[in-house]
Amino acid sequence: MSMSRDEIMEKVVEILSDSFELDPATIKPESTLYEELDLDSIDAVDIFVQLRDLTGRRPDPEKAKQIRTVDELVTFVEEELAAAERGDPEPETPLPAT
Amino acid sequence: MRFDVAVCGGGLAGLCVARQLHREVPEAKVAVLERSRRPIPEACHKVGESHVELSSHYLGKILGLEENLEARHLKKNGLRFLCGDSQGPIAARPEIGPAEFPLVPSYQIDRGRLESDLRALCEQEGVALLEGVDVHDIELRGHGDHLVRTSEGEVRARWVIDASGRRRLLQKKLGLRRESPVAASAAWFRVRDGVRIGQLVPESERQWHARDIDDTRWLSTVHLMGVGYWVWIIPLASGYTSVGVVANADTHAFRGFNTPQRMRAWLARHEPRLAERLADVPFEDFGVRHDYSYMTAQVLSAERWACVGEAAFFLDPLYSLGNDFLSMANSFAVRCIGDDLRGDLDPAAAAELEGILLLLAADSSRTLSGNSRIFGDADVLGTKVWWDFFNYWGFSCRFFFSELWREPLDELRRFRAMAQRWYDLNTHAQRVLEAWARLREPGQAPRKKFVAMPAPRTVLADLHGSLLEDRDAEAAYARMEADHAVGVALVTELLVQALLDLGPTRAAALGEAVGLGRDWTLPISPERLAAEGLGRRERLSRLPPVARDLQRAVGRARSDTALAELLRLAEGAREAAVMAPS
Repeated sequence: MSMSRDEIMEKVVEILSDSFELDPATIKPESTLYEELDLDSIDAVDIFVQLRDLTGRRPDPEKAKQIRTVDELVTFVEEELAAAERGDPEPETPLPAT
Repeated sequence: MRFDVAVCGGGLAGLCVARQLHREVPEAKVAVLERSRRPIPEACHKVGESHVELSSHYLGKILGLEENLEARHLKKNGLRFLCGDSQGPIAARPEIGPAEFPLVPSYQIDRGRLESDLRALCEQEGVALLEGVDVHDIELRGHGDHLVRTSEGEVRARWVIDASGRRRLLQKKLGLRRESPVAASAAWFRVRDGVRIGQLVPESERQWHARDIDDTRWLSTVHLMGVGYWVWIIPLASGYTSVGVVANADTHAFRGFNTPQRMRAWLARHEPRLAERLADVPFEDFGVRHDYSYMTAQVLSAERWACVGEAAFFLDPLYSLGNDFLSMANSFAVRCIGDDLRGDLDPAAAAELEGILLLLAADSSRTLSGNSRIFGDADVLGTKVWWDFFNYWGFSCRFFFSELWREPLDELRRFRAMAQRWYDLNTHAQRVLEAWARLREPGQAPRKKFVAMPAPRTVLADLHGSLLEDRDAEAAYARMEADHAVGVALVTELLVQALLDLGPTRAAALGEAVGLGRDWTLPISPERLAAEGLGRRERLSRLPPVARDLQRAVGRARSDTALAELLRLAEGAREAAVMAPS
């Protein structure tokens, strides 16, 4: 399934605003997740669990850790979707279940 | 014929107790008296297929059946609840369930297959499996062997285990039945092909399907929830699917679904997506149970008898606890039999075990009754499941996984007192949840589309995973103690969320319903009151971790009225109520 960058952005904004009491208008591509949007590491786990609904695959925790801004998150989803399309294998060590 | 133990009934409870006796009291000479002869049918045999953590641990570890379970049955992807509007598409219904396959194993058991295997195993191990024997009567004797009268003659035994299922030979004879607070009926059937919840959702619902990352959603016990009812969908290794309706008497008449034809009409009305899937599928082995729930006054006696499985009591199929109580009753009875045959059965120890079992039954009866409104409310249900799992893993599972029923008398006394503390806490929790759902404005949009249960990296997930760690009695007690303190914070947070959600107009009614200020002893600290006014991250950092995790997982309620004011209104209700008569 292909999604445009705008559609992905829309979804990401929806997830962030629904989950973390954020006003959608304050979520900009350049917003930093941990400073400006005031999220923490457990929120990040929550985001990546929810992003699986879009990508249908488990994220690579190493790549996920590098993400700092909303724009990078959108790029990450784009890459995950492309990886899903290619049928790339999932990472060996997924985010922990417990 | 004379035996050390006569097991009356060779269903799951009786066969399991015989196997456990063989493993733990190998010197005992055991007979199982069972009316039916082999072969018994696969799948279309008995309900009670869904096993949760405790009974799975029992079958796998205590009875050593792990290989059989892995090879012959399905490993289960936990319990999954689909709530919300049943008339709309399934994909739009809020979902509560595991995000990842649970680490603590549980199984979907094909009852006919398991009981066939257990019969063969018991025979191989030297248990006298007497098939075609119908037990007519059990005569308990104060001294000497008890007497069991059967279609094939008399059997004498030092111990009698009543595993006669709903015939309840001893319970009826001794007048031990007690009323249950659960007032509900059930009807069920099997279908030959695999009915998977995913088949009820169009492929175009990409996100809903993508959430099921390993295609294992179908391995859950799926519950379709609505006001006053739920429907189970359980896959079986034989390829069959078990489907059942459980409905409370206060909302659904039994005659509305007690025949196959009425069942189809009931499903078409209440669960149309499932009804469509089943339209041309024959219902096999249709069965019903009207007003199925009953309690008991006693299940275990140092006078050398015990009732196990449904011959003891049956509460409710939600959360699949029936087999858990079977596991506990069996284990407690086997411990007493072992003590007795070695000449050191302490009646006080038997009384403690009996006390713990009845306390846990009473605890579950609170959890499983008064839920009609909650079943139709995704937000309250998500919160309830969070607490109920916490309670279940925190005490019952810890007690069983650590095999604490083997402990000496003074330890049993300590754990019974601990069970009582968890019971008291659960009583508070259930009162809040029930009143919250009852007072809540119906038809609110659910807060979350998906509630991971347990959510990764939370207090609840940690508690669940901790069941896999070995713990001796001392360490288990310490962990229960610590978890109870966490539970206090959690139940306090349930009250806070209910208050915030119901707001100033209903706070007083909530306070009255839960006995706030009268018998509510959990404190809402000044810090908790102050935290509500803060920004999200600041607020979360100041909450007890369990309250923080609950909010993250199931969402939070908000009110324009300050929490302190809501609490004052809720506590004021008591004074008003007291003053009213004058």
